[in-house]
Order: sequence, then C-alpha cells, then structure tokens
Amino acid sequence: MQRNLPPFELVYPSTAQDAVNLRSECYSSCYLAGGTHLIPHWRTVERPPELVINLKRVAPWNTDDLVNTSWLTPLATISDLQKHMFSHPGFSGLSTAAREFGAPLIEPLATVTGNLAAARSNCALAAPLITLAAKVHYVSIVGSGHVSVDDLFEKPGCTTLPHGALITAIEIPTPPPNSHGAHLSLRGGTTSSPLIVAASTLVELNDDGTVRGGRLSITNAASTPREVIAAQEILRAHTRLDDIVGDLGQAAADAADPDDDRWGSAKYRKRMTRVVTERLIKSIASIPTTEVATQ
Amino acid sequence: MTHSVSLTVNGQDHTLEVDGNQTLLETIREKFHLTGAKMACEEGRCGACTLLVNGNAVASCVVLVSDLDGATVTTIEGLPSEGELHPVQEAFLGCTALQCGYCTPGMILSSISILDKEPNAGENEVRRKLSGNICRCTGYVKIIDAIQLVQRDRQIENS
Repeated sequence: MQRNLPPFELVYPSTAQDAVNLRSECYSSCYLAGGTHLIPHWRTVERPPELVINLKRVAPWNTDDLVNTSWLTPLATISDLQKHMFSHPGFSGLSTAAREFGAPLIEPLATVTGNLAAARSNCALAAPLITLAAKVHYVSIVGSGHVSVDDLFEKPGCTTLPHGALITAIEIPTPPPNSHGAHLSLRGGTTSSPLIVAASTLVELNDDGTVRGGRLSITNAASTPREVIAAQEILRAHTRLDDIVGDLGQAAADAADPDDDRWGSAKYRKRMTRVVTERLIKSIASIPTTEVATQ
Repeated sequence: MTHSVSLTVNGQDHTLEVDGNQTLLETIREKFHLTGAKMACEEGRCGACTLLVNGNAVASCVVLVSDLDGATVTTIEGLPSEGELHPVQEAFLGCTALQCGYCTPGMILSSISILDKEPNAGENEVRRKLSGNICRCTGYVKIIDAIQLVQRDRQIENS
C-alpha cells in the first residue's frame, strides 16, 4: 500500500543563518539535507515536523565544490566522498567506509552530515571520522562552535549539539606523516546487507615499521559509534603491529556494549568486534614496511 | 505552499507545481502516468522505484521532486528510441534476465547507469553496484549475464 508523505511546509533558505532562524521560530521543524533517512522515517510517524527546512539552496553549499581534503560541506554526499580521491593513506579508512556504504541507489543522495546527525549505532562514517579526529562545526541561535565527532553522539538518535544547531562543515585534519588508515565492516550477507559491526583505525608508524600512536573506533558495537580509548595506549607501544593484534582486539571487545537484534545477538556482535578489529590491524601489519615508510 | 519545478522527463520539458511533500516517484507515476517505476519498500532499499536523474540511478521514493528543478529524468518508458529497444533491454530479453518483471525496470535503469559510468566494471563491482536492486525471483545470474553481454558487445563495437 502506498504511504504518501504526510503534509508539511517545505522552505528553502538561502543562508545558514536564515535556516537557523527558521528552526528557532518553529518548534516542530527540522533540517533536511539528503533526506534518505528522514523521508522514510516521516512515513512511519504519527506527527512529522510541520516545517521542513531544506538546505539544498543554501549558499555556498549549493555548488559542486563539496569535498576537499580538509572540509566536507553539509551537502557532500556519499557519492561525492567516493569520487574524491584522498591521496594520503591516512584517509584510506574513510574512503573504504564510503565505498562500502552499501546502498548504491541512495549514495548519490545521502549526505555525510545526515549520516552523522541521525546518530544511529550503525552510522557508517563515524568510525573513520573519529580516528581522523574530525570535528563537526555548527551554528545555532546562540552562536557557533565545534565538537569532535567522538563527542557528537549522546544516545541513539540524539547528538550533543545544541537544540536547533545546524552543522555547517566537517573538518578533517590531515593525518600525520607515516600514518595509515583502514576500515573493515562485517555485514550479514551481501554488501547491502545490514551491518553487524565495523572498525576503523589510523596508525602512526615509525620508519622501521613499529607503531608510535594512533586511534581505533568501532561502529554498531554499542548504542552509538565510539572510540576504543584503551587502544591509544596500546598503539603507543613502539612495537610491531603484529605483536599487539590480540591486545587491540581485546580492547575493542571490552569497549563494545552491543544489544541483541534480529541480525545478531549481543554476544555474537561482541565476539565479532574482536574478530573484525584483529583482521583490520592485520591488514595494515601486512603492508610491507618499506611501502609504509615511503608514504 | 506549492513549488514550481522544471523537469525534463524522457526528453520532454515540463514545468509543474508540486507540493513540498511530493516525491519524484509519486510525480512520475501520478502526474506523468509513467508506471514502470514501482512503489515497493518506500525506504530506498529495494530499487523497484529506480529512475535515472541526471544520469545517476537513484531511489525515487526518497527524493523530493521540488529538489530537482532543472533536472533530467529518464524512466523505463523513455528508453526505446524510434521503436527500438535499448541494448540493455534487448540483452535482458536475450538472456531471459527476468521472471515476474516487477524489479526489471529498476534493474535495467541501474544497469544502464553502471554501464555508462564504469563500462569495464568486473563482475564483483557490477554485483556491488546492483546490490540496491532486489529481485526475489532470479538468482541474479542471468541479470549479470545480460550486463556482461552488453559490455562484450560494446567492446566489440569499440574495437
């Protein structure tokens, strides 16, 4: 049976400040960027927002220049991210996560900011952005600010941004020299099947291939994406990655706090967090030292 | 409040007034009466509603039509040219790449997008790109065969 969208007023502000003002004037309102999450959601709720503030015509976001190595604008889509060839190997995790987004027909529509703002446990791009120390910049009725992606998620469906805040950019710092990123996801079947668990890492290596630092984060292994804090200490070991694979896997499993769902039990998902993390670290450890040292 | 939208649908220019909550799929089916694109999951997950928007295969059930001012939309009805089926349609027929046919318009439009953007995509990449289109009848084997048949034909033409 067809479920038409419920009625709402749709407006197209031309500036970010106009958008924020409109949001503050109507409590039952929301921003719309890609819409691939919100539009299906509105078909299922009793009371959708009265006012939808569409960001597609906000200048200067309504241009083709949506992605560069340091910034993503709020209208940058998953396809934009896929097309953008980040040359630094530290961005490999982000590129992989974008390539494995798993929904080809919505990739030209779904935005990176929308993916983060939905604050779901399976937010595909959160883990690599956390490892890259990315920041979300926002503007609200009381001013502007920024928050690290690591601190963005309060609980499922809820961010730590002030009420009515509008994300204006995602800042992605350039990874340190001799660093390498990677991302690995486990799905229930094909590439478009539901995500079981995913892990991302950014490791910083010495010239001899030993590790000097880095970060590790996990997605769908807890109520929201999160960093594995204990991994920071392990990654400062100045030893070979091969020697700390098990430690990092255990740290990730310890940080995981998943729920049961129809795609897997909490116990299974926690175990897979360890497995995926260990495979992820091994994938970087298998890169020849000389290749890493020259990157 | 309605919004004025200019669309080129299957090569013909149109200007129409649409409500803000109207999706591209509803517009194509109810205003243009082009019913090849199907309403199914309405979550952008199954691909039955696939249309080409500016050459990209998208799930039209999650696109607001008011966002598409100036866009070019191609539906399955717009593919035949001068009475001739599109080569991908011919390949689907030739390979019997369909059973009930419900997913077929979306499958064909996604296939055209894949072939246009990545003409030499390997089987794994084709399967990945086609993973947004779900078929509950076939095992996808003949659909992949049809796409590879078009790839081979084009390679022969180009050589």
